[in-house]
Amino acid sequence: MNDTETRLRDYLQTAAATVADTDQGPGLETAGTAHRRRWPVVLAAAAIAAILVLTASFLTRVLPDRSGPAEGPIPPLTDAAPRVPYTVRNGSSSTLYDGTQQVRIPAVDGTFLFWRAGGGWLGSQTPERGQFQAGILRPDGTFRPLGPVRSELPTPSPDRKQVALMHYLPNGQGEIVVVDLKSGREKAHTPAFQGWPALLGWNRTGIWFSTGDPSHPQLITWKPGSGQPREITVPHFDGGLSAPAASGSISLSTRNGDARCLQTGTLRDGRFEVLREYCDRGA
Amino acid sequence: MQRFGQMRVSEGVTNSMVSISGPRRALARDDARAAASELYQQHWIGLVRLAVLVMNDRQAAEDVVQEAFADLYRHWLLRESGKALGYLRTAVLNRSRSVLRRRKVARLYTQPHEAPNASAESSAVLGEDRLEVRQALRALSTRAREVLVLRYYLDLSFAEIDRTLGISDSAARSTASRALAKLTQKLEELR
Repeated sequence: MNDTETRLRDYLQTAAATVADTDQGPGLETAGTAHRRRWPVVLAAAAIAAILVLTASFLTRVLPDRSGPAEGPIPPLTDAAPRVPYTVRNGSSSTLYDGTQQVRIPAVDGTFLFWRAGGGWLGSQTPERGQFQAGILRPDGTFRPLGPVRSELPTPSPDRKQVALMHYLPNGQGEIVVVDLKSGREKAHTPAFQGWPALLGWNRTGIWFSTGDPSHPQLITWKPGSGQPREITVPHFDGGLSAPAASGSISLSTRNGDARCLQTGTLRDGRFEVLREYCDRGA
Repeated sequence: MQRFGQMRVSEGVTNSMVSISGPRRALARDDARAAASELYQQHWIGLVRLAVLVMNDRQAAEDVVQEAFADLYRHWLLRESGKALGYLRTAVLNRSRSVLRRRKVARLYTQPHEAPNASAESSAVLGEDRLEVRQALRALSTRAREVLVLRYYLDLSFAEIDRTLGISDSAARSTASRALAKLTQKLEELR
């Protein structure tokens, strides 16, 4: 047994022992098992609510020339359905709601929908185990595949005519593929520098993605049809990024120990220039 | 949000109880549930440990194990009770993989998630040397981590790993070999 195997066994035994011999599960009572099926929905709703609150509060700081929403009258609370598309999972089936439209999502494991585009909703599905497929959910409930198999996280171009996809290659590597939304044809592709890329956004500056170790992601931008991707150095970048389609600027998050920051900036001479920054510490 | 309130557990315990009729089937159902409860007592901790090693998140691990047992409790699909542990391990690993994939997608739209049970307390228990191993393991794919956990934590043979993960014997061997090599390389980089 070599040193790696010894260290691996030692780590696995120690990490497993964090679950004590005396720990007990909640049991198999019927109320408990039925209740637990809702946790993914509750978790997703909480995550959406959290990011909406964070984004709204951050944007009010980024745009100082406008009066902030917090300064105006607070609208009354409503129990009306959200105005953005959302999905509800009920047992093994899901339904998409968008205004007055309701679309039953084909019964496959894992459907994620992100954008309205191409006369439907852009997203990805898992048609079978180990396979991912990006595509468009049509209003009639059918799913139109887009791009190669084992691609996901579709991200529309600013003009919504093309879509960037993250494509998993069989050798543990990945690439970004750009597909024409109307014809479905591939328009461009670029390999990721290392491992599988994570698509983050597409704005006037280009497509933004990260590669490498998820705990130390490398930020990269690429403008399809105009050269190679460029690595962008952002100290302590933690992988969170928002790229509003109509803008050339981006907002990203950094983390250095307990210090977390949101930064908004643009590329200038190939370097990320921070225009505004908001930080907190261990909140 | 109102619609969440209307959500019925169509495949849940209540409905499946209604669909079973007749004293014979009820007896079989009761036997199956008794068997599932016994398995729960015997293997809950071991399966949570397995899921913790793959996901590095105690809460998610407990949820995954709970759902695997809940499925078995409601729909006993096994002809041979001796295969129950293998079935549960496969179910837990499949669900763990699904959670990790969903989390990977969600992470791109929310701030990075630091599992509460993987933070200060467990870091203090692990120590620097083991934290390096944990960090190196994170660089591996989920499948590679699963193979290493089954091989070096549960001490399963490659034939048992094949059955648990539904892959071929050669795939299990080559995955373990490559994963170990990459782990060694990562650990050297971290020194």
